[in-house]
Amino acid sequence: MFHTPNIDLTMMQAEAAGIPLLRYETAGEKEAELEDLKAAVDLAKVKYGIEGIVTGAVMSVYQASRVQKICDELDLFCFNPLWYVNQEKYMDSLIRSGFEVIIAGVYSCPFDEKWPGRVIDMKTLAELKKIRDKYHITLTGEGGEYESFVCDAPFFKKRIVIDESSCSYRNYNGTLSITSAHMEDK
Amino acid sequence: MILITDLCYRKDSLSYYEYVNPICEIAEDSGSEYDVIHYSELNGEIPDKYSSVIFCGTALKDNLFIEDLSLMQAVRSYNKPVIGICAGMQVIASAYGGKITDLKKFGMSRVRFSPGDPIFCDIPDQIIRSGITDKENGNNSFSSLSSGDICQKNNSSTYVDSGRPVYEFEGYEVHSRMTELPDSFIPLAMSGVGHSSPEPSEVFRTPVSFDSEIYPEIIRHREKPVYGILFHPEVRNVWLIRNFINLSGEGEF
Repeated sequence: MFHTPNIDLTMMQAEAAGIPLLRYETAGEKEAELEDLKAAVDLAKVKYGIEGIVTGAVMSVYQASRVQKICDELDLFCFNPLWYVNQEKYMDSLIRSGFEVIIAGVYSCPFDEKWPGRVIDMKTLAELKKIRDKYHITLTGEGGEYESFVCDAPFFKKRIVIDESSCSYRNYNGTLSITSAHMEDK
Repeated sequence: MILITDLCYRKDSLSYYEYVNPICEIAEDSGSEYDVIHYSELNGEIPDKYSSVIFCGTALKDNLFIEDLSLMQAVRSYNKPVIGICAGMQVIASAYGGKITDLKKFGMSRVRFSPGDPIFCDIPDQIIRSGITDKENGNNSFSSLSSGDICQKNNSSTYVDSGRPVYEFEGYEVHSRMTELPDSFIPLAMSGVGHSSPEPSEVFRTPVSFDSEIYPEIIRHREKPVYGILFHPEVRNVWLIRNFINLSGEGEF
């Protein structure tokens, strides 16, 4: 249900974006973790007066239906603006509009140890398209084939620079651990 | 040309991307020209230039569209092919006198149907391979509409056995309401009963809900090519929308 690589760095991303961050701990137990998510969203409702949730779900009915249910139980609007977006157009627009995104983890064939840490630029996107055509991964990694980390976005006031990282990789499975990073003015 | 009607809470809403844009993509992929109009701009009438209409869904919490009586009037007086998805199904059923009721569902549901209606003209291979016969199916058999058929409905929601094969697929439902079947409509597909496990090849593991209720998932007017779909066919069941678009384009209804 949840993204886990480099999760502590969301604090830096929130600061870069100038948006408050609410952190809530979960044991990550399947289905039980949804109670934690609901409690966290409820806390956001109380603390920040939110009226809705926006997710980045592209195709995952698993994630989307669960968030929809939580929003319904808390009487919140639920928005999924990337729902069934054309993935090629979307990835293209991400790069062109100034997002700087790196591959933070790979969990599927044929990704080798060179992939974690790679910036998703036009060259990487071209390779991802070839991999999609041959191995039927989703271009956006929606099926869990890869995870990403956003270093910069058009709405970020500062960009994140990675100083140190390490990668443990084995058998098409590898996660980039960002051990040190700082923010720079844009 | 197709009219895609935006039923979201306002024009250019955040829900547009989720509920209208995927339909536009499907129309484009099908090689069909289309316009998108927000329902508030229809002014009680669907312009004649369109050969068919698709009413999209909207956010679960959004029920504004159902208050627009001129929208219902526009639907009732329109005789060309129409398909209403989720909220769109509510519009269609309401326009023809169906009452809105509460029914909450989040996730994949089993949907059962028998081919015969034009909307099922082209069924994906993987659905045909999973087909079961009416005899195995017992009480869940029901009739499908072909031109000239009269459908009988009894109180227990069991329908006349057509003798045709019954197929199953999974549809994505996200709604807090649905509508009762108007008298002038028949069900073409029903929700399944009980638990189904995901296909081994399923990438996104989505447990299907237990469901003690059987309700119509696809409905159709007895005479007009007017359809309502409760689940969201733009999710994993694009074939239904494609069939509708192709048939309306060829004037096959």
